[in-house]
Amino acid sequence: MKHKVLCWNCKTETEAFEYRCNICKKIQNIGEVNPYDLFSLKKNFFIDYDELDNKYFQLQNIFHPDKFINSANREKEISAFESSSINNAYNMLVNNVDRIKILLNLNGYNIDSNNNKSLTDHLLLEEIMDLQNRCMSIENDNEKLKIKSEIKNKINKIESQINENFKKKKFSEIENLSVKLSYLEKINKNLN
Amino acid sequence: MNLVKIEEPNTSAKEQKCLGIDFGTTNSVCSIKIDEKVIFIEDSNKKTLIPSTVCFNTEVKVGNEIDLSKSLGNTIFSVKRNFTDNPDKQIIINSKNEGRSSVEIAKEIFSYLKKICNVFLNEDVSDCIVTVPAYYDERARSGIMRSAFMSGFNVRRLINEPTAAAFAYGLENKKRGKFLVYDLGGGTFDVSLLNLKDNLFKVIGTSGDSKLGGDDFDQLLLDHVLSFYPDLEKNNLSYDDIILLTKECKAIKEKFQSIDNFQLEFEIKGKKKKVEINTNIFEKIFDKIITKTINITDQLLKDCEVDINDVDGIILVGGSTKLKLIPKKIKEYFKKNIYSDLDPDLVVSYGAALHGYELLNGSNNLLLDVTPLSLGIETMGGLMEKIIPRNSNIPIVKEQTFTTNENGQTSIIIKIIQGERETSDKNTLLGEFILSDIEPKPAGIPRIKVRFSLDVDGMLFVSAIDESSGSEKNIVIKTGNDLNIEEMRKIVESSIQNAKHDMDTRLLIESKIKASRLINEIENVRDQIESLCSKKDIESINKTTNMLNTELKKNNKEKIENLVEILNEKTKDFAQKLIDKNFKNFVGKDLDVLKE
Repeated sequence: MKHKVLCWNCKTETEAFEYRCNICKKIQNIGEVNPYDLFSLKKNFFIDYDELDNKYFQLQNIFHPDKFINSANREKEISAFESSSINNAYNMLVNNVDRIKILLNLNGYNIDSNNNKSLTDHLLLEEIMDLQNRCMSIENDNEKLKIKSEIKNKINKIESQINENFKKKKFSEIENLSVKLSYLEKINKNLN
Repeated sequence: MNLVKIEEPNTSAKEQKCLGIDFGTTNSVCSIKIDEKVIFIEDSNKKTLIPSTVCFNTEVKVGNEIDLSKSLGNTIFSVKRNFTDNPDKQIIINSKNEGRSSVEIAKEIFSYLKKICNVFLNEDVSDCIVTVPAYYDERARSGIMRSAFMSGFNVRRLINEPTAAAFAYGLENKKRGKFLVYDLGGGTFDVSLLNLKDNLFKVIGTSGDSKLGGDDFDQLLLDHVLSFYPDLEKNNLSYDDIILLTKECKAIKEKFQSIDNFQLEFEIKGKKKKVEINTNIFEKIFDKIITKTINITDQLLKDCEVDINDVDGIILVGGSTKLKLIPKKIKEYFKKNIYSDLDPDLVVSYGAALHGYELLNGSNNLLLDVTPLSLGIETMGGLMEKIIPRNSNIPIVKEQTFTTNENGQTSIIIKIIQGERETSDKNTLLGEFILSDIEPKPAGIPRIKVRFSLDVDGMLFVSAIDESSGSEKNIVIKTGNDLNIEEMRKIVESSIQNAKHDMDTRLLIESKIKASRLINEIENVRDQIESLCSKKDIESINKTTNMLNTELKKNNKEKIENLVEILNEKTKDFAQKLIDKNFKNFVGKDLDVLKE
């Protein structure tokens, strides 16, 4: 894990190992980097969660404020800031919808936030409304389990569709699927 | 890949000492790691469990030094319970109707703990880690921290009680896997789900009830006893009577471990009655509370999307889990291995001492915790907009952009709230701020970026930037008027350096913290001061504030206290005007509503 840095402390242009300046050993800022690169993950829709976790712990081991309790203020600030950024990046990667946004963005495709697709797709609207109505009228645990597994299946199906579409670079298709996915995940969460 | 150990600046230095302090509702425990061993601090009676009680007679006494037979009425019990309401609310402390805030009462306990630690260790150790219930909100956390700082402790970290306990199990018992920590103390219930790995202790989620504990068993038992006195109302009993009876009930509860059925003779107001208590009644009383804890635990597992079958065991923490019925019921319900090998009364302090040692001396272990309650702001219609959801890993910084809803609006009120309910009035209001000087623009155009920073101590800081005005004005606002941990640390450190006597130092620190809070309070309402007070008054308030700021850098306690008094006097008028104005606003709004 080597990075080129201009150290804020000793002002040397040098290589940093594990984000510490080679010369004075002070902790360095991570700088602008997308979550995939931060955790050294391949830019695929499906990610290896164990790999993500391992990398996450390695980074927190470097930056967590507990490691800087006796350090000077500047190092404490860098630690607090980067430890938060690492948490934010991690949270985004484990969230399906956020991860899709990041990946679309990395592919140069920008989501048009003014274009609310959910309202235009009537079939989707009906399907979601129907599911929601069924969830509202759940009477016993058995029924609940049934609906839950049904939703889970739908989610799995969409996930693999999204994965396929990323390979085919059909980005606007992915955007539509992502809207559906976010609805399904919301319903699933509310069932807990 | 192996992690390369990076040499910390302090590894060559002598080992640094750090106390682990578990300030409990019923008892407090202090411990410290020295020479590879954790030792528990004992008071002069060789006791490690220090009752968290304070007696205000001619002198202040704490813990086992209080002779309860003589001073029951003047003794404050379970002060920790008040921290989730309002830690600054005055409580009557004696028959002379004198008042103290919970922060000040807890400060006496911390001061006493500091004293017995110094005597026991034969040296002055100020660095410490203080544990708090995981489910504590922001206000309660900062209140506890303030109490500890005011007694001269240098609080290096606040950590959650169940997390501290899990850390001890992970390090000392080599537990690995997913564990639930079920922590039922005298006044609070916490449950946390953790993943324990080599060198890594990660909290997945936490939940609880900050007003549920062993004290509630005693109250329910007392109600049962009183049911044998149908003509007696509970509020007809004196404070002393209730405390004595509660103590008796507590004793019964603890004794009930071995005896199945017994009759007791109670005497209340001269009336003797036989009160029967059997397993049935006892279980009924216990079920009420245990069911609550089980429901909270079930919900936590659901929130974390973890199946109970994937949990490797349940760790019991807190004095109340020593009651035999609790492990029995928990095991029956969850069908899991139950662990209580490390003393449930001591394990929290133990874990804090281990963590404190590692913090100051460096270590390869990493402890990652979460925030127990969602944080957000109030939006239109009194709804809560969540900005940091509960169970987010800390530290965390989140930003959200807001705008105005009226043309030409130049100020915006930000209400910071904490909790899980949909509407903001059911959650805790942490602070309220008015951002003014927004450039007047049509509604919806200004962009006010609000930044929430939640640090590893679980303390929140909020700042706001008006991005549209071009000049990026950074308004640093805090929740409430409280000082942050760094400000308090500076006060403690600068005072200790110049100290002659321990007692003087503590009083000096206390004055400084109070003075700094007053200055914060004034800063937070500066806009209102400027609109409500005369030019002369404003000048005079500013002058005194500046003088106080200068004195804070020195160590003259009398001068600081004098200036605080003057400043309080000078802002009295303003406070009245503010109340009048708010009342007027309120009435005005009400009338409008009526007209509609």
